[in-house]
Amino acid sequence: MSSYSWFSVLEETLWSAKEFVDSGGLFRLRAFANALYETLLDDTPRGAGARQYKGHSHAPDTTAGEFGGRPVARGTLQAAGALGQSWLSPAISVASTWIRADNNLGSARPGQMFYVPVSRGIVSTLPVTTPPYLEALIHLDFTAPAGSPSLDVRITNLSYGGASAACVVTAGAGSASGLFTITKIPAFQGWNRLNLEVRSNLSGVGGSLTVDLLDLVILERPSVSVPASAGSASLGG
Amino acid sequence: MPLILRGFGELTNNVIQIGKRGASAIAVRMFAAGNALYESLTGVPASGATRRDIRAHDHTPGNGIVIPRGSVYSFDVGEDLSASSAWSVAIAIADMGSYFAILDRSPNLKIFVTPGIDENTTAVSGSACTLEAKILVDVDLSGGGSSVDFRFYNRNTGTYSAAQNATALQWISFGDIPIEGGTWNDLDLQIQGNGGAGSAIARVSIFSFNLAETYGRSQPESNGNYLYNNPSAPRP
Repeated sequence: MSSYSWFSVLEETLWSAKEFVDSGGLFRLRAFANALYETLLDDTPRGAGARQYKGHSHAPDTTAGEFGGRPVARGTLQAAGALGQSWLSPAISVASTWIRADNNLGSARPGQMFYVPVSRGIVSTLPVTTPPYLEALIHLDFTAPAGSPSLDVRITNLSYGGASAACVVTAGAGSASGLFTITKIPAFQGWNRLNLEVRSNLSGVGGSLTVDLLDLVILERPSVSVPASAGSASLGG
Repeated sequence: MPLILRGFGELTNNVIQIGKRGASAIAVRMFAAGNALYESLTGVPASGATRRDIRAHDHTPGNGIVIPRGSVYSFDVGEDLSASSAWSVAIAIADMGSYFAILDRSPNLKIFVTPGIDENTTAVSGSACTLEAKILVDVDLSGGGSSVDFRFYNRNTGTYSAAQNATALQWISFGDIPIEGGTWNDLDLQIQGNGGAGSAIARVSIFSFNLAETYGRSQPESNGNYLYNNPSAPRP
């Protein structure tokens, strides 16, 4: 007994209209179905003695040896926080300069603040303007010494370069508190080294700015972390 | 209502006779196979059907290639490195030279590992499938001692990762954390102080922690030989 797995060309001209189906076309169809079975399930079709194709793995770049399929966002990449207490308190005394959010620690963290594992197939294009990219939610409190300066928060990628869009928090009444979204964080499959940075516009305002960072979650989200599909129709439903 | 067949029967060579007209029985098999593949891929009934017969693939063993899910446990303590931190401990003279769990709770952490990623039954590049971790540790040697060894112990499997050594504030990496797939795993992060007689380690602290299923260390090897777009794949 023999069985073939082969992604043959299934072109319409194989069979002319009003003609009987011939064995050659069926031969191709059968091989094609077996190949689909192997690619979908990573298993050997019934009746086949061996397998040819690797199962799809939701990593599409075949030039990099990936097994095919649309990338899948896996969710949380890094959680951080101090249970409602101040997690990090960066000391900001210079205007318009990005600083690492852990600059107030007794000893700076070596290299980077975080390692996060980005899923296969998620590869940003720099500068990041469109998916795929990561997002982060950050809970913070800050109080302005006077006036209404704004605070910018961003995440930089040390492994591959680039930075997220600046998340702008404005202290309308002298202070601001809440949950904010950092978007367009550059992401590249594999381990990524990231830094959380803050910056303030202190122009015309004396003294330093008090900022308390409470919690941070870095995420792959289905809506922004996988590339847009070139297909237009849904197969299922 | 028409009969919508779903099933993947044997699609072997001998059912097709060379030079003969195609038999309808073969075409019906192809219909059933196509419908079955559709349902397995999409998780919805085949076109024209009102119910689904075939279970959708979910990337667990037997239902698609097993894929790693990324981070399974992470935290970052920020500036809280006080003695009250659960992830900060001193190593007394009496404890030097032997491993013990960094946290006084059993187990130190519980993680759920994706079915099909298992150090005893699956492999990648000739090595058992395991987890990776990146940990920012701080070793304070002001009280004596020369270094601290870190390793993971899996209570499910009774096995250990390789030990990683630290002497200061630094990142350490693990690529061989043992796991049992498809269930909760009980892990301990163990530490061992090293140094001369009468020494002790002032403090061992964990700043940042990320434990993950990864493509390189956790995704089991496929038995297939070719990618779907490989033009050199064998063909009739």
